[in-house]
Order: sequence, then C-alpha cells, then structure tokens
Amino acid sequence: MAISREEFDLIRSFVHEHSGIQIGEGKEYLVENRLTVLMVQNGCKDFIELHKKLVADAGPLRAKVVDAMTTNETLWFRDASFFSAVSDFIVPQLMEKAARQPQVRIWSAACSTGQEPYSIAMLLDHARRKSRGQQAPPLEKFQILATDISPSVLVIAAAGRYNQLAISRGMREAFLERYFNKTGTMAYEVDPAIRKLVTFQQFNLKNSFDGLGPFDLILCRNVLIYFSNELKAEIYRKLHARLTPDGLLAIGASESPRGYTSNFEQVMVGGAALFRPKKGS
Amino acid sequence: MTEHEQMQEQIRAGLLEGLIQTVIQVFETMAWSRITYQGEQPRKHFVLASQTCGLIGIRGARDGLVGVALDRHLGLEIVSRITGLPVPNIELEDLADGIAELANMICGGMKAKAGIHGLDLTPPLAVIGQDATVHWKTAHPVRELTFMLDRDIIRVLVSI
Amino acid sequence: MIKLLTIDDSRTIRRVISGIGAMLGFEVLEAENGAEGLAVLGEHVHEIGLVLLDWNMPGMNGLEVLKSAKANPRIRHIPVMMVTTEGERDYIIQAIQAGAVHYQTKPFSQEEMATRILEAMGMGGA
Repeated sequence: MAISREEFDLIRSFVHEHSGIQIGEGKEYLVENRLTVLMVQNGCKDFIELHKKLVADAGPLRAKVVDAMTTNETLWFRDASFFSAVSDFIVPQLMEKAARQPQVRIWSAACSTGQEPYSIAMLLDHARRKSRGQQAPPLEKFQILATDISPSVLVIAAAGRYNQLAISRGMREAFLERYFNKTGTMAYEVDPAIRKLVTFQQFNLKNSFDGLGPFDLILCRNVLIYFSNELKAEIYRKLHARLTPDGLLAIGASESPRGYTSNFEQVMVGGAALFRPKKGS
Repeated sequence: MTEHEQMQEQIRAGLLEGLIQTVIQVFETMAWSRITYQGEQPRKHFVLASQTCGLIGIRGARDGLVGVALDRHLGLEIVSRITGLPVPNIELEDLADGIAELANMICGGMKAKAGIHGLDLTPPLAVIGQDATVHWKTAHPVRELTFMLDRDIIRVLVSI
Repeated sequence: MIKLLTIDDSRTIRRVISGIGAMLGFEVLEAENGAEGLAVLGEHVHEIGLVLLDWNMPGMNGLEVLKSAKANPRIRHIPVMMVTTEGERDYIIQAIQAGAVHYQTKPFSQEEMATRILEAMGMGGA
C-alpha cells in the first residue's frame, strides 16, 4: 500500500506547522520511508491515525516525527567558491574584529552533522597560524554557535568523529592532517582545540531568536529553501535583528532575501554574494 | 483495451515513473552524485554493451527486466563514492558487488514507489568486462533511459 | 566497547555500515548470511548493541533470521533494525510485529543511517 494523497497532505502540513519545513510535491516516498516505523510502533494502521495521535498528544512522538523528517546531508567546505571567500576575505575581517572587540560570534544555523561549523573553526585557526601568532587574537575570542532542529544529528556533530567517506566529501589533505586525530576504529576525530570553539544546541528556526548573538557572521545556507514564503520573510527579519551592524549573512548561492525583506544589501566578497544589514535599517 | 490490459498498463507506467525517481535518488543518497534524466528511447533488443552492468529480473504481477550500464571508470568512481574506498583499492569483487547492489537498490526503490503488490526481484547479477555484451530475451518492449553525471552517461534499460 | 553486527550479503553495504559505525564510535562485526549472522550473534551476545539486518539474502531471509533471533532467549534482547530495499508498508509492519525496533530502507545517506542507528539504540536525543 503506497501513501495516499490525503495521508501525505496531513503529514506534510503537520511537519510544516511544527518545523516550518515544507515537504515538496513528489516526496511521498520520504514520508513513507521515514515515518512508517513510527506509525506501526504507535499502533496506527495508517498515516491518518498517526496524524490524529500527533495532533492529540504533544509528547515525544512529535519530536520524533520532526527529527525523522529533517535529517539532511552535508559536507566539508560545502561550495568551494563560498569557502574561498571565507578564507580569503571573511576570516581576515573577523581576525581584525577580534583584535578590536572582546568576542567574535558566528552562528551556523543548520549545522547537521557539524561539517560547516568545524570548517569555519579550522579556517580561523589556519589564519592565526599563517600570521605566525604575531598579532593574531587568541582562538578563545571566537565563539561558534551551531544549531540544528534535529537532536540526532547534533549527537554526531558534537562527537566530532567522521569516517573515510565523510572525510572524502570535501576535506582538504592538509587540514585532515592538522586538525584530525585518527582513532582506532578507522575514524578521524576533530582536534579538541577546534571542537572547543563550537557549541552545539538544538534549535528550531521557527522559534524566537531572543537571547542569541549578536553575530558577526551567520551561516544559513540552503536552509530557508525548505520554508514557506511567509516563514522565510519572518526568519530573514529575525536574522537581520541578530546581526551586528557590520555583520554578514551567508545564504545558499541560489537564495536571496529580496522579495522577503528590504533590510539587507548584497555585498560581493571574493566571488561570493553575502548580505549585510542596510545602514539605518 | 481490456480491463486487464488497462491494469497492466497502469502498473507499467507506475513502475517506469518510480524507476526514474529511484535512479536519481540512489545516486544522490548513496553515491553523493547529482545525475540528470535526459529522456528515453525505444530499443529493439535488450542489449547491454558496456563495461559494467547490473541486471535484475522482476516476476509476479508483472514480469520484466531492468539493467544498469556504465563505463568501467564511472563504475569505479561510483563504488568509490558509495564506500569511501579510493579507486585504486577497489577490487573486481568490490566493483561487481557495488554494481549489483546499485541495481538492487534501484529495483527495490522502483517497486516501493510504485506501491504494487506481488512483485518479486531476482538476486542481482553483475557483468564486468572489456567487451561484454549481455543480450536478454524479453516479453515486453525495451526502453533505454539515459541519465548524465557530468559528462558521463548512465544507461538504464527496462523491459516491463 | 559496544559492537554492531551487519548481516548483509552485499559487501558494499557491509562496508558502508562499517564506516558509519566507525563514525559513531562502534566496532562493526560482519556476516554475509543469516546462519552466519546468528552464529556471530550467539558468540558476541554480550557485546552487540544492535543488529542491522538485510531482508533478501540467499538462504534464510531477514525476516526468518529476525524470528529465529527473537525465539532464542539468549539473544532475543538484542535490538534489530532491518536495512533493506523492501520499502513497502506491509514489509515494515511484518518486521516491526516480528520484533524489529527500527527499519531503514536502502538507499540511505550516511547521516540518515547514522541517526537511525542512534535512535534504534535509544541514543538519538529526540
């Protein structure tokens, strides 16, 4: 029995309501693959019954459904042109900032299994080493907050342990040597000094951003594409409010806040387009 | 068209649609490779003339055959992307098993997506060789679906 | 150290699962058919924290292996997750009713499989 239209629509709207994430047309198999087990385990004969249960009971089942539907893939230094902009231009700017201000804060807003925040942490350390430690600010000045809606991916992210396959997806040889320790079980562990820079926390972008930041750099790449237009506008507004006046927002190469808010202006950094709060906005 | 023929046609269309979706999904999730569907062409015979082929038979509510064919270098690259093994370390058995499993996942996914009861898959068969040509007698017309990964072609033959 | 056991006739899948186990900090034992899998399970009963079990294999199929494991008082407590190309609802229902704690269809991404393993072992966080 394949999932019916009615079942698909019910689950879709539930996931959207509770995570903000939109499951696209044609993704029936994703719902079927990931949720049938929960359906059977909870004594439901179909997704209509599961939906009833989800609506009636705010307990752990809801979190499990959202978790199951929001696992995403990731890789190191995802998008080469973006990361060359980060290492050539953004990291040097952040270094200068760290010399002037007590803290530099960075937020990786949908970090999945941790490759993005660790990549940034490695680039910061790399830049410090290149400057031979002369005037380079100490690493402790940098704080990287890494969040994701899925608690399961955060367990993996916080462990900072990756296998050969995960490493082969974008990790540079020189960085592998410097920033990873090989473990007995054929895996690579992120160096504790790099791991210490990153704090992992479960967070739903639908929620209030009060108490977060302000951030000098926010990475929210290829995340908002899964949200409805209404939520996109709301999240762009909240991101704007959590950036420092000269802070930068990085989104996916195919994304733009245009059409959702006029509070950002585009800045070209290296070959990559980033966004910063408009003056006076 | 009789009612039986109509039902058979419905099954066939569902399986074909599921097949295209699944091929893309298998390469994306297992091999981290974004492939694009280029289209389909009718073929007179079920002939796989490539260096790396995986084949699976379908029995039950509808009989058929699905084959995946790629060049050896692409086969090696895909198995490397699935397992994390560097290409030079991939042995013949790894390549054969990887291609067979690729065919297996493609057919399994096709079956699940089409949601059709009573379809059984034969264990997968892999054919690896310089000049191998696999020719299979089939009950139904043959179509060749073409997918691209960068500049490489992945051919999926289906008779269903 | 907690170990995982993958029972799958495909060495490709066994290798992928071993890699994911390494990422999670688990050693992974391998068996290429049901009979061998049950033997390994009996031998390492105190170390294995989760079995990842294929459905379609030569000899005993995964469901038979699952039922056999659940009928054996020595090993029945070890959680089993099915890992299979069979994605239809009826298969999932059969497996869960026979005592599987989780079910993952192939194909899967590394992240997806890793989180399912944690969930099956009660370490997922949600």
